[in-house]
Amino acid sequence: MDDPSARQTPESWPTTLDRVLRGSYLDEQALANGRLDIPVRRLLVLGVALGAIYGICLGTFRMFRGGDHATQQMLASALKVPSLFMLTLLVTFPSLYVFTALQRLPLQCGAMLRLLLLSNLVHLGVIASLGPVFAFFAASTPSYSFLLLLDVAFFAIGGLIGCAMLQRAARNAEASVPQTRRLLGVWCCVYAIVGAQMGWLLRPFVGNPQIPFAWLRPTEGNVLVGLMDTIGALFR
Amino acid sequence: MNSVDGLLRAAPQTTPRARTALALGLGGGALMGGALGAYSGEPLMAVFAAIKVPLLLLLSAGLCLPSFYVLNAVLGLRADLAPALRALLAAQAALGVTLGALTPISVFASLSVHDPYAQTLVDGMLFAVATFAAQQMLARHYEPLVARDPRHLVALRGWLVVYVFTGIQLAWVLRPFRGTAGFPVEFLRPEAFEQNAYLVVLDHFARLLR
Repeated sequence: MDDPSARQTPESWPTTLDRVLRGSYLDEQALANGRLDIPVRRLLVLGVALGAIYGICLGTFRMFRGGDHATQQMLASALKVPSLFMLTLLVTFPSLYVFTALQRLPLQCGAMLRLLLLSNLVHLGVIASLGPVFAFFAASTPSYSFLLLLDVAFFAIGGLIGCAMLQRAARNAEASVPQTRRLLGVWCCVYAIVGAQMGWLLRPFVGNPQIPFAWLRPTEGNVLVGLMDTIGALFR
Repeated sequence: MNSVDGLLRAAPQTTPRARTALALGLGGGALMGGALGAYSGEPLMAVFAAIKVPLLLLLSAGLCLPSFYVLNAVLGLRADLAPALRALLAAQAALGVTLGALTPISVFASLSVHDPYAQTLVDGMLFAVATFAAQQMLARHYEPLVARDPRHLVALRGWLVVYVFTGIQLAWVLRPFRGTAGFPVEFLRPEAFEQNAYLVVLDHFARLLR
């Protein structure tokens, strides 16, 4: 049993982040009961902060390469990284909720949303921790294509770790309903595809210094074609 | 000398104090840097290189530490972070000490080999040997951690990937370490931040295939 007096003392922000990363909130009992005791507001604030940190690191490329409006690019990226996560969640969450309800999984709508926010925060924590590495490469690499691919790789690493956290939660809840893990696995794939295309729509995050600054680019093409073009540009 | 011996022979998880390890590692790196830079005959170049090699060790580890912490936390290894960090510190110190111990070989090579490409090759090999020694040290200190929880192996591999990936580019940025006679003495090359080591290698391969 938790000590009620201990609950009243708010934990520090780094402690919350540390607990999220360690998976301390994925309590088996709570998951089986379909409840998750996670401070949602804290998750949101931490998520926005971590996304902004990584966004600023992305925007440094324009600053280091002498592009115009470097500060605006950093600001734009700092706003767009958290937005990317929020919008992707907004697009994919309703379908996940419907399927979890159809399968009669124990997690209620609110608990499911908390769980996904938690996984998003892990994803954001991973990419923010790789931010210094990205900023260093941004300072020492003139190739825009290389930086784009590095960004994609970091997002992919973060996504894989975030999904692993979801799978861990599913394993904890597995005792009651075995389909949870499968459903979350499929959702991770859908989330990755939607997230990648959402990132394409919200581009530029890194900002090519050869091109004038823009908050958003025209919605032409798709992420796969863009990725192939970027890989091709690396060899030219 | 006792401190060096203590560091190299340390049993798993009995690393020397952080300040001692740091001093040994940076001292060894500075020794190697000084020797490489002195080849040009310019004292200033020797001083620059003696600063840059320890800087390479410090920055490459520093840039990768945030991701190391996050990786440990998400793997559920946060409770072992302190001994894991001590293991990293011991490995970085071993890297510096080994570089220092290899300095006489580097000087000998500098005096007996005059082809710049061969010298670069020798330098690369010496750094590779030192890195291998550091990995031995890291493996030794990680042994009890891995025995306790095999997930430490994942954290260790993750660290190595990010560290090596960053370290290679950082070493490229911090060139020149070995001064060349007749060339101006400079802390960093003018194009230091204008080239990517991986793209240069890719470009060389592409030229070979053309």
